[in-house]
Amino acid sequence: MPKNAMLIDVSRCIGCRACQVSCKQWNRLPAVKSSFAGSYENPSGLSSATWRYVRFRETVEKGEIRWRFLSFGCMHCTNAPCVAVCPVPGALIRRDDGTVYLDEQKCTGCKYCISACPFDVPHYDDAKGKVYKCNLCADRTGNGLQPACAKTCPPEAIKYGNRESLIKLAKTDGKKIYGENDLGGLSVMYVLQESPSYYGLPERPALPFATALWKDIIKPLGYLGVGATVAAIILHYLIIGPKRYKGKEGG
Amino acid sequence: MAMIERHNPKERAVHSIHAISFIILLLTGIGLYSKSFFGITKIFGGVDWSRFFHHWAGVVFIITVFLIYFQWKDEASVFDEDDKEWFRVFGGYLGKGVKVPPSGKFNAGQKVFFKMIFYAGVLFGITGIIMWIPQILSIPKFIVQLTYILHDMILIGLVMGVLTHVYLGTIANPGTISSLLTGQVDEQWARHHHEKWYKAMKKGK
Repeated sequence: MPKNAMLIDVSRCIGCRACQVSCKQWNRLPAVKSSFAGSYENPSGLSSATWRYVRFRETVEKGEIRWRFLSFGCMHCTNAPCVAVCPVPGALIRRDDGTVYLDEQKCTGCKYCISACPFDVPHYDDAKGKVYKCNLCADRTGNGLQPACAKTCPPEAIKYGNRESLIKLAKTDGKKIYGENDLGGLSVMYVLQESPSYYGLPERPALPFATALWKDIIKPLGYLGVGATVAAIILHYLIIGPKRYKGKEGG
Repeated sequence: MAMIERHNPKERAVHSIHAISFIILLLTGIGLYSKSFFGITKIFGGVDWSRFFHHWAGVVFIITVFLIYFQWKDEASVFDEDDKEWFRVFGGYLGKGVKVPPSGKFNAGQKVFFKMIFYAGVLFGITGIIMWIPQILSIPKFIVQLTYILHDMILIGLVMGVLTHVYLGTIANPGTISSLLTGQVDEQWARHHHEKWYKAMKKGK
């Protein structure tokens, strides 16, 4: 289990988007031009230049508008599917403190992680040819600071700290935690007011079946198949040997 | 030693370009197959260059797949009764002195490999383009995950096929490699391995 984690209690969230802004500010990410699509949600999703955004769920119930907010970014899974599929050593690594760290210098932009992520977090930047996502402000946490979003959250909906004590605290308040044990335990957990799918989160996040098949079955079978072919060739050469045609008539 | 032309320069050029593009694709792609092969990307100047060469060698590979298809389809895509018999005796490769039915320009095994190269090439191209630019084509994630599986499966099958092809074209059948290098083969070789083709060539002269 990771040491540190972030716990986001959405019932405390006021939808101010300070986390979104402080993320952009600390990570020096440019603003993304967006257009109005009938919601206060802005921008409408993560991108290579937006690593955290507030997802808005605006519904009308009995003539009253009901707001639900979800500050969303990388979930920093313990058994992260993106780390499992990344082919470049060191480009996407899982750190002991709970961070899934993407090294921009090493990323080659193959996009394997994009297809593997159950949360649709990593995004490809066409201009830079690389993938980007939240690094849980590794440059801040490595120096004893809180991630920018947690530091700035005015209602303290985003809390960062020791994972065990965060879980304990929420449980003593009788709150249900999303992501405590999924994918080996997420380093970003939620206390939700609605079902996970209401917020566009998978009910039970897991390694995609096709990705597991690819990594754990197909690739090992490849070694087996190629190895068997080489073995068959060597055996054939030793036991049966070449087909010589000289001095023979017909076949 | 009387020689006979088996493949003209155009046929050999197409085959050679196709083979070279395959080797480049293998060396540039294998580095991304598994972290343990990552060091191979250094041959082409790192992983970014490897991917660059992989994409464009892939384009050459697909074009030459079609050139090969069209240059040999008349001889390689039709199976006759002798070919059925050839399969029955596994081309005589599973024993010594096995009686093998006469073959045309290509034997039944080569015809199967010809089909394999064509279908694998087309599927490689389709899955490869999806893997290259999924964000531009807005391909659903599930399809992208499947293309990774397919691309790897074709790779595995093709490497197995190519290893066998190279073995059979070189040390397993002495006298064969000159059909690629010079295009000329020993007449005795031709009569032994491709009797029907040899007779047709002789009759045509």
